[in-house]
Amino acid sequence: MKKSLPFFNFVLVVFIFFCFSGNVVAENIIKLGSSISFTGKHSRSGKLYIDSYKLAVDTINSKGGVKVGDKTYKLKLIFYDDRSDSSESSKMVEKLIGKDKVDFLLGPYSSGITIPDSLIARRYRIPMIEGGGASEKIFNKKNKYIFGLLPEAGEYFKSTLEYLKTVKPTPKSIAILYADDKFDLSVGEGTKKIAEKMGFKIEIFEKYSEGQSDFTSVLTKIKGKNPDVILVGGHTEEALNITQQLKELDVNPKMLSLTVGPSESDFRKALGKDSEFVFGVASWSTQMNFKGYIFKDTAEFINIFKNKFKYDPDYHNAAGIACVSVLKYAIEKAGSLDREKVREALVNSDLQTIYGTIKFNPNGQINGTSIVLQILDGKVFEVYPNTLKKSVYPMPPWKKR
Amino acid sequence: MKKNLLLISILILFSLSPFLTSNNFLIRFLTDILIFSILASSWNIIGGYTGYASFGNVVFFGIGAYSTSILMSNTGLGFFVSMILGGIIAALFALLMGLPILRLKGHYFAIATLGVAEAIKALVQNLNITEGNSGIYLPPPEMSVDGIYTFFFYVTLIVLALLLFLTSIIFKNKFGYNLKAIRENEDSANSMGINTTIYKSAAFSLSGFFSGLAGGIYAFQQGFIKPEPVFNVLITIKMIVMSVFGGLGSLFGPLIGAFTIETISEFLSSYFLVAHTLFLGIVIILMILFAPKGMLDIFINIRKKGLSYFRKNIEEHRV
Repeated sequence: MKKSLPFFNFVLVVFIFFCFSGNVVAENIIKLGSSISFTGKHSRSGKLYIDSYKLAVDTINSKGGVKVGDKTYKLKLIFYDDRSDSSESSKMVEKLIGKDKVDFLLGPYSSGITIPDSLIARRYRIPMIEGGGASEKIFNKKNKYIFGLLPEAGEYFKSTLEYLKTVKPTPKSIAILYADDKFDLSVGEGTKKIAEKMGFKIEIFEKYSEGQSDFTSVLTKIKGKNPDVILVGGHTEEALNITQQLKELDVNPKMLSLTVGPSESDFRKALGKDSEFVFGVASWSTQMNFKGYIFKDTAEFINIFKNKFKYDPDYHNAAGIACVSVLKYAIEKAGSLDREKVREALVNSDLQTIYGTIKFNPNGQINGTSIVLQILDGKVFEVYPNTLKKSVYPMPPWKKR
Repeated sequence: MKKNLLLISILILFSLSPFLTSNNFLIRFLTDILIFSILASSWNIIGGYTGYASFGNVVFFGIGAYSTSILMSNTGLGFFVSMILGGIIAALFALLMGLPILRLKGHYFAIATLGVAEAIKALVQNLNITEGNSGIYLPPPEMSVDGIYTFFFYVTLIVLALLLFLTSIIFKNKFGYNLKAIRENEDSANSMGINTTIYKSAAFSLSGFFSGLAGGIYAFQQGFIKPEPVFNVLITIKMIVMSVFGGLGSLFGPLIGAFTIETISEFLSSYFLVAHTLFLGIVIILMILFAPKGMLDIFINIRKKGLSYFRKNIEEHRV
């Protein structure tokens, strides 16, 4: 009997700890919960969202909070660490719901973790707004409670293709190169689908392995077919190599557009004048200037953010801010904390934020807002849909620069 | 007898917990502990009793999880049938994998199992039927919200009970003694006429079968799985740490290990968002230093010897 007493006591203490550890609900507070990566392999990216959520909540609270009817509420954030593990994350979401009784959920980082979390959100009918997962798998299960702020990977080049329809002479043939990671696979396949629908001819459609540095064989093939446009879905290093090797092989497309690279200053520095006229796409960059909702505009946001966290915000940060912004907007528009009413308001949202316009597709994913960039005079300009500077099309051949 | 009564009352209290609390998170938390108890206990069969430290047991968990998912979403089979088939597939895989690999000993065996687990992960990441690296959905359980939690709790509890029951029977019989003989000295066991290959493979398959079942439950509970979390080598590490923490080669050791580690880790992480991993690490290191034979050994000996138990451990292991 005596021997197992310590163990019994231990079990009892644990039991009591869990049974009675419910929180007392305070007046006029809206609780937002997020289970996100503080530790583990996603901790770096997780931090971007954590910082943004905190900044957005602090800013809203300092500017008077959230008005629901004639009452004013403060926002309160509750975080748990998901250790970059999907099972741990969904368990922590259950803790947020069961123990902390949160009103709404903010998303974690990465698609693989977002999906199990979104299933829990659906189970309890709590709207979850996320800016960390873009996989179509999150949105193709008719889950009415998940809202995503990253545009669909497959539609990344949509604006570019639309732009191509506006230029003269209208290009006809396209070559698509893409890396074999999940995101770029979707970019490649999605672009092909849209381009074919729009009547472009896909001359070359090739996958390369992530981190590849020698593209000579595929570029030689491209040279043979001489397509009007080359679209590349990849990463910065690959973008640099492809651009350089295009010049070396003297391949002269009318347009070269890269998903990653042109918007980064390193890309322009490394290539010098060869980076001139190269096109890019982006869902967001610090150079854009949108009128904000909780900040005055993008520039103000970037200033405040840099002062507070000592690093340059990127699209992850902007999406994190937009998550909280659109939630505040939806609560105020619904005029209630009722989750169904807020969900309805989210579905119909139309909001200008520092991240751009937020409107959701019927599946809950943001209506893609990727824009076309071009490097002109060593700087990046948006050339479509807004013409901040007149685009140069076709690109002049390498030898005539 | 009195001791057994107490133990039984704890078990009854535990098994009734879905009715004692309305907090679904608590039930989910206990279910996760039970899943890890199954994993640690099945690792204990090969690692603790037989003495083959497998560093790739997560492969059975992953195979069970993926088999259950694919069977449920592609063939429309029910959960129980899929889960059991998942377990059987994992067991068969263990048998096939064991035949060449169980010939290795010590570090070589550990490295080989680690390699197989990583290779299978890479395979799953690239196959079409597993939908590659982007993950695979399972049909959602059609139950009431509270019902879901009670369901998973009891399914897991029953599988764990079955595993413990089987283990206790095995280790009261010749099969179990043979495995222990292999652990103590495989060459002598061989020369005594024990067909070590057959017994080792059987133990490995049994371990694989139950890990596979745990994988099936995990997958259905999550509703969506990806290669990285279900083939994550950290799960194997957790199995080993839990077994060692509770008490290697004992029936209830892994159970106690899973329970304590998960509770301490949950407790720490609700107070320290980042530093909890550090503290958990410290707890584990202290445990290994002061009580290398695990929690169970402390419970048995501390009443007899008091604090000198810890001193003795340190002296014995020359820390």
